[in-house]
Amino acid sequence: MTAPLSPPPAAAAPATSRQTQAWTLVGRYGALMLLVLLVLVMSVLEPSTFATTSNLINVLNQSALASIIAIGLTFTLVAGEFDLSISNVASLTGVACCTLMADRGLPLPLAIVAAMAMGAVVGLTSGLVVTRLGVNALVATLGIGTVAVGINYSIAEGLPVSVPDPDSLLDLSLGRFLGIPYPIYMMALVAVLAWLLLNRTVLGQSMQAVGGNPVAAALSGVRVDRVRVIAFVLCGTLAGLTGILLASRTGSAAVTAGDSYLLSSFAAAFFGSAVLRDGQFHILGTIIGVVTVSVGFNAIALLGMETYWQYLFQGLVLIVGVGVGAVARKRAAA
Amino acid sequence: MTGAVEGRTMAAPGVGAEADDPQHAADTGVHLRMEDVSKHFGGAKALDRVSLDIEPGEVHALCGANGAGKSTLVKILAGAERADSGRILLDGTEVRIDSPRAAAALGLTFVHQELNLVPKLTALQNMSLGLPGRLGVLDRRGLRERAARAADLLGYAVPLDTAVEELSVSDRWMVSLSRSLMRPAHFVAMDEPTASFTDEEAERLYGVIDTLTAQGVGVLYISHRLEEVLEVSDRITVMRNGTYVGTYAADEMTVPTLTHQIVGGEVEQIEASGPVDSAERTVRLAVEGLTRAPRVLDVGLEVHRGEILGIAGLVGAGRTELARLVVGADRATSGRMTLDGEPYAPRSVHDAIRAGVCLVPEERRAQGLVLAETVDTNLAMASIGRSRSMARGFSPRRSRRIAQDLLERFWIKARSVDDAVNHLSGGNQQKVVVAKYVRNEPSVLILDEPTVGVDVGARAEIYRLISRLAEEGTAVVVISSDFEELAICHRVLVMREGRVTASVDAADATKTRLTELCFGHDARPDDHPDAPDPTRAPTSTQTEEAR
Repeated sequence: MTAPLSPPPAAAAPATSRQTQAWTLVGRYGALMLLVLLVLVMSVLEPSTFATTSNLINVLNQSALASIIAIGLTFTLVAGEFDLSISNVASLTGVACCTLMADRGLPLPLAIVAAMAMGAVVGLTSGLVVTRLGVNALVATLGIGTVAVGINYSIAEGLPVSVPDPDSLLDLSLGRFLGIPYPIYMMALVAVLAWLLLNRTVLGQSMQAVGGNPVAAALSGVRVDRVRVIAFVLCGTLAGLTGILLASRTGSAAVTAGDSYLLSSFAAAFFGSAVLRDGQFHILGTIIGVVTVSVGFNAIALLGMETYWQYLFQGLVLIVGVGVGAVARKRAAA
Repeated sequence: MTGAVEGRTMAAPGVGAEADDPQHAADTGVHLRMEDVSKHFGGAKALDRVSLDIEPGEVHALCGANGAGKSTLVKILAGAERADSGRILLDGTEVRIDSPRAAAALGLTFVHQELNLVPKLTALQNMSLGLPGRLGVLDRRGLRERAARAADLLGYAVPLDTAVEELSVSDRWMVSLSRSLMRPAHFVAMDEPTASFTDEEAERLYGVIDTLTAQGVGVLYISHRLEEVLEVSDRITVMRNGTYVGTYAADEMTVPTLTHQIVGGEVEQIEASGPVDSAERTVRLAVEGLTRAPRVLDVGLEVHRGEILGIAGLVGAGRTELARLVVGADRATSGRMTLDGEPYAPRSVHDAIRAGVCLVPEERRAQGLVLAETVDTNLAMASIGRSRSMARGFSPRRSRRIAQDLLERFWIKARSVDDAVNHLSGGNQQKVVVAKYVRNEPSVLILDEPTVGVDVGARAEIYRLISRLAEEGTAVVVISSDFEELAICHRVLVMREGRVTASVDAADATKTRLTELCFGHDARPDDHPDAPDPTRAPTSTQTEEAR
């Protein structure tokens, strides 16, 4: 795969190039093999509980929200930025929209739109702070995320907000069509749209160019700042959507509902960057990252292991997945 | 000479503890010698058996055109590059300089164009960087004393407690120089010190150099300003194409004789493009009074349909900066441009690209390509960038087909459009960058150093591409420091210190002539009616001496 076009020097014996090819394969498929291995082992260990349709649906259902928010993050990562405020945004929109539904009687469809709009505004703010003020994304999104926490607490004083008539809200998470829960459809829809946006529009190609080499992109006429802002807006929008979906699981919004999604999203996206591609962020990779972690959690639960294994697993999967990919690429390039 | 090794370490005129007796230092300065130093970068020979020696207390100038190997030589002395072969001797003893630390330990110090200072830190903090503390703790008072002694050594005191970012360029230079004198120093190399100095600041530096040399420090002085070189230095070593030309006593040289050595007397065989009859062609891009101080000053030029216009100049003459203004990467503070007769004022590269003005940037890897991406993706980038609406669809199949086409049209040697560009050779990478912009069918294409690091075969192909584009009606501007390459141009402008100082027709654009003009040594003043500022052209008396 990596053979140079000019005739290689004499030292490059066939054995070396076979080795190179092997490492290239490991780099591309290593992370994916981890998932496959996990599934195979579990299918042997727990054939009656793990390898069932209902468990598959269960795993996918558990991956749905994490995928949606991680896909949003992937946009910023593709554009060479990142957003640390996503979990805070998700918590905020859940609380804010449930409050609007409870106090003002906002109908559910409008509440969903409002949640996404709120997320979009936060993303827009982050994007403008990063591009216009030149504050780096770490500081900007950390600061904006903290402001979001403050607003969140000012709305509900830290208490969970329940919706008086939660049926339609609960139905968002619990309802099924053809036996498959709605969140899985939503995940699929978001994933397909995101994939199309990144791979089949000028905007998506611009994001990839900006993330690949912002200087070259700018000198090619790509409006780098605008592209970055849009990436932040998309990220915020999906974080906002995740917020209301989180509330729909229980019919009420907790002020810290989204918190665990920050690290899991980064873990999934980085794990995904080592899937099928040479360290580039992409939608399919991110979803595989989320699913790998869900399968692991599921396995830990089915095997009756303690909860702390989840943290060990998630941390190790990230390091092994990304680390093996990085090492393999280095070897393949050597 | 070999016996002086101890003296070298004992009595260097820096401000280390040993150097308290400056009078003594002059006697014990160190003789630096480089012998037969060679260096290759890939297949290209950067230095071919170059020798240089610098006496204690001497100002030794190093002269040569762009790419003559001056920087490489200095980098080897500074420990930033390793020579492939050759020896470096201090007072006759061979030394190994394999890191910047090793160079500093031997008392060899360097003050570069890009000063390695931390802007937020004060002058004193910058001067203290890298110096050992006392038991790991900064010895503030000691450092201040040493800084004060460095100032004595220079005969000029920099404000120690001011943040470097608030200092003038020349004061920053002095901070850098003082820093190099915080340790015992035998030898100071200065790379283009006065490039952005006022006359007064330059005078001050000359004074500092006198003070240093009086104490036995050897100074290696690199400058493109030949008048200055003649004034400041004792001896001058000239390099050409990585080889040693000769060492001359400064008082036996004049600007013309020095220029002659720099250019070389070789007979030139340049095959020029056929002349274009500009009168019959329409003006595509016209620039008037374009200014963005300090690098671009009141520049005017016209490029015609089908014309290849060259812009020659030394590094730092403002050529790249001019190109950036034309393509909207930077904004001019004043001046006007028209494109095909219409007013043209790009506010961004996006505007310029939509208008059909493209720049193939100088550093292809850093500015032209996404290295990890495929040829296809890279080729698509400028058409992505041209699209006004970002919501527009992108068809990978169509993009691939166009890429395939460009691959053939531009003789890009890749196995397929799916090859990552970092697997291609430099020449093919460059062709990808050119092709990416040509895909937009530009009306004006500017190429900045289009063949740097490109092998001979690919170079010829790039020239053919440029000619073909011109024949198709594109106005092409070629910025180049390789003056032989400018033979492909119909006309060549010379830029010097931010201004267009000459315009030369193809037949006249020999390497010798262009080099003379770039150094400001102007043998035939009547040849360049375009030159806007005659006072900038250097003294004509020197010209007559040359005849």
